[in-house]
Amino acid sequence: MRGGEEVIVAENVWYRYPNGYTALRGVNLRINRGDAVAIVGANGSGKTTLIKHFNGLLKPSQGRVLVLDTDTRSASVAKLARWVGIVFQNPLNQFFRDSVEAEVAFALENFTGEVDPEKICSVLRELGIEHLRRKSPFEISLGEQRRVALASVLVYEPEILILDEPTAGLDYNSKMKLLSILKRLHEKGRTLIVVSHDIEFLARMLLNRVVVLSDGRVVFDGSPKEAFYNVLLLLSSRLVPPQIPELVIRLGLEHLFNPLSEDEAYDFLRSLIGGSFLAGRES
Amino acid sequence: MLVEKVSQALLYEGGDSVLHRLDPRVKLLYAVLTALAVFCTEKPGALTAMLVVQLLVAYASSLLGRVASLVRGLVPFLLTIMALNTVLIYVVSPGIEYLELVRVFYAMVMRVLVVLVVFTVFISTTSPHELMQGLVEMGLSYTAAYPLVVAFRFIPIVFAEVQNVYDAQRARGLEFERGNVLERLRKLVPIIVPSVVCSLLRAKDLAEAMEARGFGAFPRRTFYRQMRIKALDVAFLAMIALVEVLCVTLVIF
Repeated sequence: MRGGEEVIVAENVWYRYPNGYTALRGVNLRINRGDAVAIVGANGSGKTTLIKHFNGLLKPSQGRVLVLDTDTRSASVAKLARWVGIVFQNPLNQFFRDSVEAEVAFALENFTGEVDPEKICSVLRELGIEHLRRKSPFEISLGEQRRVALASVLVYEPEILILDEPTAGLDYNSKMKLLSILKRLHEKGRTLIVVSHDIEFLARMLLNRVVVLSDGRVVFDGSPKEAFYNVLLLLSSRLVPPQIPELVIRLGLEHLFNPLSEDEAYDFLRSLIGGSFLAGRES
Repeated sequence: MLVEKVSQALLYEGGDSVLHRLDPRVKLLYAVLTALAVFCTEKPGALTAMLVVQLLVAYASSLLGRVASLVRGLVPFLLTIMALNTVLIYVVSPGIEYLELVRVFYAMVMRVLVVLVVFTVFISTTSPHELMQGLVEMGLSYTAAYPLVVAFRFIPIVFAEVQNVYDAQRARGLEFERGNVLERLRKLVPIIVPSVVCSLLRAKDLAEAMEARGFGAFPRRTFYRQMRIKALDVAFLAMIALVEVLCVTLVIF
């Protein structure tokens, strides 16, 4: 993993909506290249407002946001969006063409001026929706629509990928598929930012940071283990720990080990017992 | 966005003016009759007098600010219509006098303004629910009148949706700042299509949810608050009718 270089820097960012509501109150955040960051927080804590600053859709009322050393106030949304791809919550807010293929081509056309059918195909294949490419984006399932929206951003290969509530309304299988897609992107060194309430999903994601927003401020910025074992912190965002940390906390073992997922818990238990007791599970 | 400003100017705002206290049926009658009256005359003086009367009514319900911002928003629209009309008039009757053209345009602008003011006053001082109840009391069925309330309530939601669509497309590299008029018009497609689709889906969901909760199960429904024509209503209607008839008939130039 490359790393160290800061790709997004938010310095004391305040944002007040035209109707007078102050959504961000002095956010400081530095995102490094190759980071996989989760942004969590209760409804109205400013998550979506914050990510809209990362491609210039919103400009800070006070403070500044730097994306790849460019101040967002001095750059157009189109220029910033070339670097920062945001996949918004509702895929229906963006579909307007009659085929999945054309839909995916849209951003590619805008940013590169040409369409590479090969590239579109390979992205669709990667997301497992190649068979849908001639279908209308309106007549496929929500999980598929989500993947089309993701494809339409992935296809132009932005350096930074932001997903806003990517799991809302997805079934278990679709979530697991999304998880493996994100894992692959992370391994390729892409910077990922995921805004989500889905704590189980986040616990299974290979995150290296969790940022908790509350009332327009960053109240926590640290490792997923610290975040997901901090009951009071999660409670302040109206969340509860994922089930494995919850189990470990209930058993009073959190000082002994801090697994986030079943696999981690299993590995630990196996190493503890030396493999003999649980050996049967492997076959 | 301009559209947003215009829509905000058209939303109901609670208040306690005379107009707020009138029966919605009386206000509707006032708006419709006035709109018809301005089409009964072409005399510039009479039309000006009519506009002054409506502005006084707007002033009485402290809506002049709203009217002003609405007019400002409609200037480009009016100018476009005028330009198109000029072309059309010269095609139909090439020998038209300059003064006649001015008269025609003046009448047109005055009529648009009068209609605009009366309906702004009507909509701003009548809550969607009152309007719906008024229509039901006038004989319209409840199932036909209720969508009106829904339409009003959904205006802010639809605008929020359009904003989301706009953001989503800009995030995919759509640039409105570039290109000539034709290209910019074509760029509206990625905004309009998702907005319409989302609205239709929402309408369908809403209809199903309402049916599931028994909307329209009984043909007649009653209202908790009864509507009655009061002395104030009669006085207002009589006064407005008198003044407007005088305007249309007596002003001779």
